[in-house]
Amino acid sequence: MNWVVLCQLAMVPGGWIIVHLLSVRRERRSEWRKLAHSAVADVEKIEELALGYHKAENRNIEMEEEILKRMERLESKMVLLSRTLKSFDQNSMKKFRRAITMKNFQSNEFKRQETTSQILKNIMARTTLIIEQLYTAH
Amino acid sequence: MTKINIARDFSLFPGGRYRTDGEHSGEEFRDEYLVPALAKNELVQIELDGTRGYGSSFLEETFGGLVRIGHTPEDLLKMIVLVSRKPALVEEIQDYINAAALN
Repeated sequence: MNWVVLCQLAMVPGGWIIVHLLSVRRERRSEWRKLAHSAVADVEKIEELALGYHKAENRNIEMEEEILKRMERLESKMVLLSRTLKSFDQNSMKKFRRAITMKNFQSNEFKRQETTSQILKNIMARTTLIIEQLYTAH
Repeated sequence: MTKINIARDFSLFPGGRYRTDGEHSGEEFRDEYLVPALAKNELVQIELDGTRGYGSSFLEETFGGLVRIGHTPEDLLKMIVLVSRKPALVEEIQDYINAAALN
């Protein structure tokens, strides 16, 4: 058997291994992208709760707890995602938290926010940014 | 080194900015835990994980507040070691320490 034939024979399992590895890699990335998309659902839910919280007549302590708990879980997911989806920027998480919880949150000076309030606009803007990040992360 | 685990030593449910906002405020944590720890002139390690989450107002009052009461950002960033699996949380705190010096 000459070396040409040996090479040709080696290419079959070699090719199979390469295709298999690429397929595994593709599947893994697909799983990570699904996780990113599930994080989008989490972000949208937090936005909904946060807007409801700030637009309410009175401060709602239970809602504060719910929002903070969900943000904590979202952040854990983001940490996991950022390890694999290298383009993911963690800045978006801190800006999202700040938009919701820096002002008029867990405060005795709570005031019902009008639709035009800067707080609400910031929340929506930061939500959009973080969702864009999650959809386009690779 | 002084080690403070916020979830274990202070509260699983950190509150708002001021004592008047409710229990476990940033003001309370800063004044009753951090200020005495920093007064010992040794490293202070703060473990952030394990709580149900932080509001930004808690973080800003705790850490930005240290600058407002006389600590310099340079000293704080040298003396405080923040431990967390969440880099965004650590960065946010560092932002507040640096920003407080500018205001």
